[in-house]
Amino acid sequence: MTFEHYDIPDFFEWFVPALLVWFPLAVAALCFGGWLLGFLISAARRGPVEGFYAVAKVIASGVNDLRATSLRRTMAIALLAVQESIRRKVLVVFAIFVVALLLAGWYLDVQSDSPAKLYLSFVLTASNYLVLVLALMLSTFSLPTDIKNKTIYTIVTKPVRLFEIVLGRIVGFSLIGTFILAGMCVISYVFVVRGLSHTHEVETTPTVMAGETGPPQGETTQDAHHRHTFILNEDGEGETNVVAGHKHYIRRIGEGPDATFEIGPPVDSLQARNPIYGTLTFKDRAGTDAEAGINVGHEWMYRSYIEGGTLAEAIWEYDNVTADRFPDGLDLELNLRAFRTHKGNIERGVRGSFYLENPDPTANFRRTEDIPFIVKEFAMDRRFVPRKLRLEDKDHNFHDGDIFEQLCTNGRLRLHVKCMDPGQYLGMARPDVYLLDSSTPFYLNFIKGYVGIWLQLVLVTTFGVMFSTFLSAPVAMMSTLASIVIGYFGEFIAGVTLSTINPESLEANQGGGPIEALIRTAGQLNLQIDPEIGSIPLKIVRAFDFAFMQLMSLVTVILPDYVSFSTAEYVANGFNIGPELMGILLLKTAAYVGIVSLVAFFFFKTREIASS
Amino acid sequence: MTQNAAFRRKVVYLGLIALLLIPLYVVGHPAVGDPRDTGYSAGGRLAQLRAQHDLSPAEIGDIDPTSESMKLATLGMRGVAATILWSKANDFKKKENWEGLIAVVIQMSKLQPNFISVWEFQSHNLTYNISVEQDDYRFRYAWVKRGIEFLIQGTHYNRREPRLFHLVGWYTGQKMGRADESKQFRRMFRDDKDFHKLQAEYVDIDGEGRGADGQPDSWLVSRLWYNRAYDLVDTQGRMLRGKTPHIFFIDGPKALTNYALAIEDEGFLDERAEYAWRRADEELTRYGDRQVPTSTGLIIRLNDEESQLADSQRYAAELDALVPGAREAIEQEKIDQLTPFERDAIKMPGDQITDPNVYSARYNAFTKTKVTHKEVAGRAPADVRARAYRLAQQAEDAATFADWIDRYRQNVNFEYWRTRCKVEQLRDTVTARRHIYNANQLREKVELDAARAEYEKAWDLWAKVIDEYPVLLDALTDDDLYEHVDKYQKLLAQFDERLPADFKLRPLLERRGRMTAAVATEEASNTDAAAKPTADASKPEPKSESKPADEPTPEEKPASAESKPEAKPEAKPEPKPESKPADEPTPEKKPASEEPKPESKPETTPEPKPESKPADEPTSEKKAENVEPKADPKPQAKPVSDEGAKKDDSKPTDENAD
Repeated sequence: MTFEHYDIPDFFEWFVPALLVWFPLAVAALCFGGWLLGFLISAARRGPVEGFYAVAKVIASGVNDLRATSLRRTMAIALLAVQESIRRKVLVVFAIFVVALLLAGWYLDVQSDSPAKLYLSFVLTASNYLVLVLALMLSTFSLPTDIKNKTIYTIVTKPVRLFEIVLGRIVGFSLIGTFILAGMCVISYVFVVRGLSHTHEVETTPTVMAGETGPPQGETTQDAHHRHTFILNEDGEGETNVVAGHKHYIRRIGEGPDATFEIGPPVDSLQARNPIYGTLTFKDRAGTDAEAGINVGHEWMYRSYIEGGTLAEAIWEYDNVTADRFPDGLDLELNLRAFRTHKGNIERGVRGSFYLENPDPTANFRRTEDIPFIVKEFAMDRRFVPRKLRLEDKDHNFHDGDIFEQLCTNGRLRLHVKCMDPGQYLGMARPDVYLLDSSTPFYLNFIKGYVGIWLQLVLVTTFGVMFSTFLSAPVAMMSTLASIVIGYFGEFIAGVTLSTINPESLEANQGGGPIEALIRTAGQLNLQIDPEIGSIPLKIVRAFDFAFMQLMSLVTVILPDYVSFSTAEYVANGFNIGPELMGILLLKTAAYVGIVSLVAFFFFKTREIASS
Repeated sequence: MTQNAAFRRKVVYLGLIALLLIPLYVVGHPAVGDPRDTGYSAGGRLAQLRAQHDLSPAEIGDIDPTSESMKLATLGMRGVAATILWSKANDFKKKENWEGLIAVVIQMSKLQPNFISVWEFQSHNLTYNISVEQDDYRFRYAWVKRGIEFLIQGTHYNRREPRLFHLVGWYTGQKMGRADESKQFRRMFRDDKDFHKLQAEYVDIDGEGRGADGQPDSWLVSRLWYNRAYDLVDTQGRMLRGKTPHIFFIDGPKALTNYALAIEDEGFLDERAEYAWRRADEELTRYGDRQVPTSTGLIIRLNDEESQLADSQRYAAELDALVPGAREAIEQEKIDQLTPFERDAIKMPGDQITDPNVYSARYNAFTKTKVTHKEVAGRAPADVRARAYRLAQQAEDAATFADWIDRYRQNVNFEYWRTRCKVEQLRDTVTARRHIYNANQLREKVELDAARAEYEKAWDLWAKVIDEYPVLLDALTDDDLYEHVDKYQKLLAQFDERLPADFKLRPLLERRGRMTAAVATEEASNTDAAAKPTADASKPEPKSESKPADEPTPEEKPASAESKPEAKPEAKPEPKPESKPADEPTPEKKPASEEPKPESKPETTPEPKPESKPADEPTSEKKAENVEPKADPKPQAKPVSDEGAKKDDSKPTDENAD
């Protein structure tokens, strides 16, 4: 289980430059670009002077329109858009979703080790795709159809401004999408909760196995494709082991052979944890600082490995570690990997240990004792570190102490991880060891996951309406679809564009731009040799490719990155979608809606000029 | 007017549609009813073709509404969807997202339920590749199980595909029983009642699947799955694709031998082990009686080699009796035609040749002086010539049969396992193994005197068994017996003693070429005993007469060369039949034959071919071992090169099959 989305900037670090630099820059570029484009088209039609005046007139009237925009009229248009949507039977989407959920059991792996992740991914992804398709169809067909059928005149002849028509449609379509999405959210929640709900009976009552020692161990029945073992304490209470991402609490009722057992519902299967990530550094086998650990030969170089039985360490440093935040101690989660260079002891996992250290080298107390652990792969290994521990002072004597009072310096604390088994390795990446803040209720996180989808819905609707102001319905639909595809595959497109813009980059996909790639494909050339078409034609081809790729690069930057709006992975992996991320996404959406609405308005206005 | 035109157009369109439906019906209407019933309709051309080629979904396997609806939902883009899923599966695997991987794999299998490679590849992926990514052996077991369950799911969709049933057997047996974690896996398999419940729906896990401890045993359950695959081929006429029959059918008997080995390792060293070996022996015998088609079209039975060789010798003897002295005369004529260099070369003992030119000349000389049965028949008087030719043909046919059987035997290590089954089921063998087991247990408990006593009891019994079955010397060269002898030596070291010069298993150790320096030193210091080990080394004198292959290993060469029987230049080894195709399953390694058949070999068996080594022969090191010390130019004669070859031979079959 790996979750890579951890690099969320601090809200204010993001917001201040965004507001003071990038937003004004984007608005200025857009104004100038819009004016230039309008002027060029108008000048071509009417000559430069008349063209200039025509553009100025449009801008002036546009500003008047904007100033006189009425919320009441906008909402009236929005209401009409809602009515129109209902007339166009958009609720069919809802029915499709329900049918998809009803049949989900056929497609989903009921034996999955992480059923919650699977169920959540499914409902969120299905909702996302269906709602985007809905937004695409609604937003792109409405205006062109009205214009084609001339029903638009029944509106424009009313005292309604063009910006109100544009904004009203965006709001109206978004509203209907919101209702549908809300319905999906409720049904999905019920589906997930009910789908994961199960209980067990006790199959094997707790007994001490022959030849073994330790507390008596029992076993539950197999339900929902799994079973648990459990241990009871002397009071007859206990909990099961974690299987399929959850556990159950269990209680014995009565004594002796007549005793019965009560097993509770699944616990921890639906979570919204708040991880606090630190920065990661390494020490090599000689104990000196290193940029990374060892590459053990995995194709995916996400994790670095440290060698066991040496001085190699992975060191995380955390900020804001305070007693107020963690009154009882630190909740840690580890998601480490083991790599064996020899078989070792098969029955036992690779051993590691960690300790906490004061980042201040001059502090009196340096570190805690080593806390050993056995690595658990592909499962969240949660550990609690009590605040009262044995601490080592600078004279290497141990005393009882408090980690917040004696080890934290200005809220900073280091955590060192070592591998204890010689010849074996532990692998880690930055988000693999984190502190856990108090959890958020799952349903809130689930709603936030749907808010992420809603933001995408609004964006697609806005772009769809914008394209429909000056394109015919099918073309507008294809354009909006292209914007979605580019938005979803922006990273890949960026890699392709880099092949021409910066071929030396490690992220670049080799092979050149479209024409060069076509030549390579036709000639069956590999990526290491240049096409043999002569140096000058090659330069021309590459120049064209370069220009095209620059354009593509610009487009990917301008269009919204829909992947960043997709918060399903957070919900599915049980991580809370933090306020920083939500804030950033909301502001990004607002900015896009504002700017694209304006662009749509001026396109619509231009269309009016053209028709006149 | 316009309305009428539009109406007419619609009528025409409808008429055309109706017309098109007629050929569509003719081609595509489905079969109705059961073929055995009266009133059965074979359906349209497409239905008939489907039935003819077993392509009807209902014939191939279960029809799954999920799968069908998924196929429909892709709107004809199934190939694209499958490609995307394969790509996603690879990406998930790379990024260790196992939940994602299994979800995609399931979708993939729904999309292409009758594409066998999906089941084969992805089940292997889960059982082998994903399982080893887990550090905890319990998780490994869970993934092995997932792979097997996935494959079992595949058998629903492809219930007449023997490869899938065979693979379930392979994973259940080999992965559970041969992995590094086999001890843990087998234990978990025994206790996994949920898995038993699943398997019980398909095979008789509660009957024949139960092992020595009364719990289901992975090797025995694997055999049940193999049997289901065999049943599809034997009784339902399903084609076997991608595997040669003798390799395919050996896995069932091998599951029983592996079971016997496994329970012995686990300490079941009593009548249960004897019974296990006896069952394996019976199954192997049944396997040997199975008709196996060869790549040349001959149909052989692996049990028939001895009888074919005997037939060949009998026909040859009859021929010689019919034309007395002809063979020798022809041979002499051929020798006379050799160059002096070749004549000298042919007289030289093979193991004394160091010059490749001489070796080559010797090989050529043997080739040139080879006398075929037909040449002998050609010298027969006219009145018996027809009979002589018939006898010659029969002798050659039988020899060819025997040769092919031998090659196929070597592919599956048939002789080794047959011998082993015969010997391991003996009470003495099982008891000897029990003593070793006890000794090892006592050694771990540091009860050294008791351990030593147990070891010594074991050696006595082993010596007795080897005396009784000298061929076992070959079979045991691969056995873990050496490991135990090593342990015994270490135990002796704790008593400040060394392996005694008269250690009863010395011939076995020497054969293996693993006499330790300590042993050699002790021998050297004991001049009285010095001759004895040498004599012991060549002890299988009775065998060395009949089995030239029982020559010492290269390491022993100086000591044993003196006692080696004189090379027999007159023996005429045959060159390899020229017709032997390069891609035939030429044995990769040459096992020693336990069968006393050298008398027949010189006439009928292949020959050294220094220049024409088959590509799939052992590597140069191995080859060097096999070729250099050969006493005469018969080393390639099929049964006779056993130096170290048994070790090579016993494993490769498994490994190859692996």
